[in-house]
Amino acid sequence: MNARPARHARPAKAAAGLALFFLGWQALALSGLTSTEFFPTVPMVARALGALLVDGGFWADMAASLARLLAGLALAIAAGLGLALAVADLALPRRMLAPLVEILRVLPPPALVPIAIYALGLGPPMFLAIIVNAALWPVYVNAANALAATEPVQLLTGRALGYGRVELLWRVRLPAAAPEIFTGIRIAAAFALLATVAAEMLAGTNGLGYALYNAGFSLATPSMFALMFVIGLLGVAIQSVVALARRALVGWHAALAGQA
Amino acid sequence: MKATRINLPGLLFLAALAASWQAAALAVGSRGFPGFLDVARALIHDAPTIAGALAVTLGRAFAGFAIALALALPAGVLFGRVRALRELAEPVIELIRPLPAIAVIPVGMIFFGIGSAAKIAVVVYGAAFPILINAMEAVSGAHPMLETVARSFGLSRLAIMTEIDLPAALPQIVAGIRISLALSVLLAVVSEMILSSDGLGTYLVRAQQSFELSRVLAALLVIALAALAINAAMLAVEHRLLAWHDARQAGAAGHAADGGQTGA
Repeated sequence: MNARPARHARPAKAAAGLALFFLGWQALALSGLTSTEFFPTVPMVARALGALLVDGGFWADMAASLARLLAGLALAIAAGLGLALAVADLALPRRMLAPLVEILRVLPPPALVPIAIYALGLGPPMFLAIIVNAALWPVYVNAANALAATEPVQLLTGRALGYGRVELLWRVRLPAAAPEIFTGIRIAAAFALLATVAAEMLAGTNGLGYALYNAGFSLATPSMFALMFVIGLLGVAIQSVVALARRALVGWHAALAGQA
Repeated sequence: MKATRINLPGLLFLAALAASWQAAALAVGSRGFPGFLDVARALIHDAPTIAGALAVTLGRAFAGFAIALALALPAGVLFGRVRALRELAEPVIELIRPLPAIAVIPVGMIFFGIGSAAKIAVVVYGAAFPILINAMEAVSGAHPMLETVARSFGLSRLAIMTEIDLPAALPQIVAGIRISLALSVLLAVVSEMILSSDGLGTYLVRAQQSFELSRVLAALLVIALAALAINAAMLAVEHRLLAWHDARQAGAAGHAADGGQTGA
């Protein structure tokens, strides 16, 4: 998303790539190497997808997952950014937090599901805690690092303009750190989706992860692949929203750097 | 990346947290709220079991990671170098990548059962993307001068890939590898949690099901320490491997680190 070549410039090639992918899938499914019961053909998956789309249960699962994901991500962004801003020019608290943050962020979010079930039960707070924890640290770490790394010239200029601490933070550090903050948010969005699906697979009674788990373990493979497709599309959609927000809010950054 | 000097305020803060946790647990005095010392005791008591489970989990993580590296690195360099292939592969990667690797666990189960093969397959799937994408981006984004010079030396396409592209793209590739290693451990643990047979993930789930909170926390502690140790080892390797690289010397390598992480 940073400086990647414009990949949408050649829709014909993209279509060809996707066509090859689905052809390869179909060929593998029909090759007899695996049974179509385990590895369904493309039309079988498409039919399962069609059946899902007219199924109220599927949309309820979608709504449940989306609500968890968005609430968790929003909370994580607010908390991560808030925490990073709070310690932006306080080196000591930042260093005090560092080892704890390291430990919390290397823990696989799904591995926290058992302890979260203990502490919070099986209700919405448990899911929220898992998703917030997964998405919080990428936001915090990227924001804290970027806020601490403002160019000295920019800070001195701000001071020369008579800015106080809060104004420096708000008018100088935050805008300068914005691109990296969005990088953190992009990673956080991917982690939030992962955590949502994982928590629902491990402890859910509804949601896309739960539906996927059920489809897989009842060997309803066409529905399983259709659900994976839907979850993948959800990921694409979320990443696109983040990319759009980034362009709207910090597009001027790229323009300044001559990358626009 | 910080230098590896000891962060005293941070360690003191951790120790203070552990102490207040212990004090709170003593004050509550319930089995449902074990203190830090209870967790340490569980860790020591279960040490042989946990060590065995850790070995199983890390074995799967490394096996999956090694296969992913062997597949994704050459593919990434190739796609990065050959534009026609990249243009075909990119939309497919963009379609598949946002799917969390955890969602692939049922597929692994259907094809491979609940044994090691299924878990390793899930790790391979998840660990391949950061390496593939970082290698592809770094090679395709390399300075055109590199290729021009290589051509004028009469290097073949294959030689350009192995002798020019690979070293030039190394900082970003190594960043991808670090993300990929962390993901490998994550996926090994989670696939063991869902396809319970053995390993740390299964230990974790069993401890939860038998309401032994101190063992749950002991397992989490071991997972965190293992992940931290792997990350530290990787950073040390990175430091040695890339000391010569100009991008490293200019301090630009950190920028590449986000490349593949969205593939989680």
